[in-house]
Amino acid sequence: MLANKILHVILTLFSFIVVPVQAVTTFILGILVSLTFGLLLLPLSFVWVIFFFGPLLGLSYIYERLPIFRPLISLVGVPLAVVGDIYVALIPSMGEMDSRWSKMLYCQTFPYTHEFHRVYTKKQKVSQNLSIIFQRLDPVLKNFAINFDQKEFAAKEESQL
Amino acid sequence: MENTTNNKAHDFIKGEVLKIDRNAFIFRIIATVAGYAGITFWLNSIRATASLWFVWVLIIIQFALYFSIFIASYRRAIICGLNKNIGLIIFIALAILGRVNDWELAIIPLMVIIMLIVSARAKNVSDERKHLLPEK
Repeated sequence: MLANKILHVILTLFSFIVVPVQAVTTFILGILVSLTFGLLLLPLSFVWVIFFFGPLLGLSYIYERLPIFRPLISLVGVPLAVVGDIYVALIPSMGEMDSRWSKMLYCQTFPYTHEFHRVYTKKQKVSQNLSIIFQRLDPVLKNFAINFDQKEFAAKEESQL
Repeated sequence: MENTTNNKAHDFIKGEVLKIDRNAFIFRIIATVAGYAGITFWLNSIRATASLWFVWVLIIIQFALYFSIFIASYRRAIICGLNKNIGLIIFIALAILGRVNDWELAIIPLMVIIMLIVSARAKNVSDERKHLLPEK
């Protein structure tokens, strides 16, 4: 939990730089994505999956299973989550806000990324750890995470009935 | 007398080479635009149902055809006497503007019509067909 707290402090500090830069990068990359008929999204997604999504998921899985490695994983994972979150913030969403927010949540829930993945893929309900992390999120992401959880599980429970 | 005949022959051959150039451009631009329009309509109709890899392949072809339209027009405009740098700026700007909303519906037909008119009035033979002209 301390690792996540540190992550949020770093992200808050970086947001003062990222937010103004974001306006420029999303605009320019948005034009380039539009010019390339969306083909530019392929390498951008590739970078996200290979360099951030996969490693964060793997690290958080080990964090969950092997408590002895937690300090080491936090040391590696927190900077990775910060860079990943900044990366997601700087690339254009092309109107797919759900995808953008979910990527940000994957970063901002570290070291519980794997747990969040299970919630996101409807395999598990939000745990206490995750709900504490959700409270730290900015209102838009918090709203997305809470609504997503309630919506998905309401639908699941309804279908089970 | 011989000179006049030679000049007439030269002008005739030049006229024929210009005609080949024009026809080649007309064929190239119409084939590219037709290909682009066809693939765009096809892609829009199957995008939701077709497999992802196939959609990406079609998008790559669509992308290549879209820029081929502007590249073919740019090259023809240069032959017609447009300054290289100005031409580059104009056609890049047109290619970018064409991707704004549905502006391509206006930009591509207008550009093709203008290029066909400019091409029809061209007096210069392209470099690739200069070897067809007789030496003076």
